[in-house]
Amino acid sequence: MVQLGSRLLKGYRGGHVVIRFALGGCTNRPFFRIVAAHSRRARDGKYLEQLGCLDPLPNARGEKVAGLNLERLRHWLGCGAQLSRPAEKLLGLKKATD
Amino acid sequence: MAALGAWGTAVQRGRLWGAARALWGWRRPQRALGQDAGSAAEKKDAKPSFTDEAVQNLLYKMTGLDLQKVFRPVKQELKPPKYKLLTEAQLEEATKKAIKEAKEKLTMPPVLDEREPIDDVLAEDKILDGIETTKYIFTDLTYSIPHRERFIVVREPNGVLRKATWEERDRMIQIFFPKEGRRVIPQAVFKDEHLVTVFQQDRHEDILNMCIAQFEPDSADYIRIHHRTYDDIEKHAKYDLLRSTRHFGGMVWYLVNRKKTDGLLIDMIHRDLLDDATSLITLYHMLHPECQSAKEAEERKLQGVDLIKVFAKTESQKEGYIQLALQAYEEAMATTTGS
Repeated sequence: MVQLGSRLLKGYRGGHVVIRFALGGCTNRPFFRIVAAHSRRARDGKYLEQLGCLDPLPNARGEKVAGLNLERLRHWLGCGAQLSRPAEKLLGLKKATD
Repeated sequence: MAALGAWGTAVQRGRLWGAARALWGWRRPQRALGQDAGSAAEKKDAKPSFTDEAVQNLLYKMTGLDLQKVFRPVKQELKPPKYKLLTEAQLEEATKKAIKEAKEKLTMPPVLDEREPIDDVLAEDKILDGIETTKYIFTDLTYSIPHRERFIVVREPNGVLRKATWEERDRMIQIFFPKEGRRVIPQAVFKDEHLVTVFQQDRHEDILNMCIAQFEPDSADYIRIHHRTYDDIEKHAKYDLLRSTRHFGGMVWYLVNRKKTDGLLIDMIHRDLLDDATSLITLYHMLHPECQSAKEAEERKLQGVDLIKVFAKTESQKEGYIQLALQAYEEAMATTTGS
């Protein structure tokens, strides 16, 4: 029990909030969750809030489905969260040709 | 990677889609009508709409209240029946409660005009042309906004950012905010060739219930399926299938608007529902005040059987059948009063 507590209540030195993709899904079937988390956390680890999702594989109609909770995104960007490069490209705040 | 572009920041400036479309918010049609008050007031005087109180009263009277049919056993978990011993007064109270619940079950689904297709381009970014091979659909997942005002946009591979069509919108909203009884991709039974099979099995009510669960009331598919069903019922005179269900009002509205009321009138007279027949003709006069029978009825203040006779002479195509049915009815009345 004590060991569990120390993993969950981890305190980091430094680090900042980032909005990035957390990979989920199965073998040969990726699925990204757009997530606000501390930068020092594991990629798929405990996050502050899920802000949306992205399915990188096109569906039967040839579309890639992405959902974004814009209200909460605005909140975290207002709190000073950074964005990872793929997240910036998705939101169009970075040149897609990079 | 596709981009939301400048539109992502435009969210800050507030909702692009406003309350300009009076059709939205169909759950409270009175409020929506009030928004463009000038034109709506003229429309109401010129032509009564489906939601008017007088029209709704007439349609509700015609729907009938067969408790046995309304509360007929729906497929559900098998439970042993419960028996209760009631006095006369308690039985009356239980019947009143049942009637109240039946009224709620019989609330008519809305009849709206077909929605106009959306084709609105928000941005054209030529630099994104050819970078992606597939299109991206972005959905705004903010929980508190109503589905009609939700932003759903599509970034095409050629860099164009456009609003999603109604079908894409319905699919995305069902993926992220699933509603019970609705599927992401509508079932194959809603196609025209399969509807024929459904009608042969006399399952009009079931297909209409499925249609209400699956489609929005102002979508093209909803209107098409309802019209096909009503046409089939009118062709084969199967009016009794929908009587005492919530679809009856919609069917009567459709038939009266297209002046195909003869079959229904004959059916009502055969079943000795003279009150319903007179309400039907009153509704017809409300919707087509310029027709001859309406003017005669207005002048001479006709009631009951006379109203039907005048209507049969002036407006109907099947005058002979209506006269025959009326004769049979009057003979039946004479024999019952005589004997």
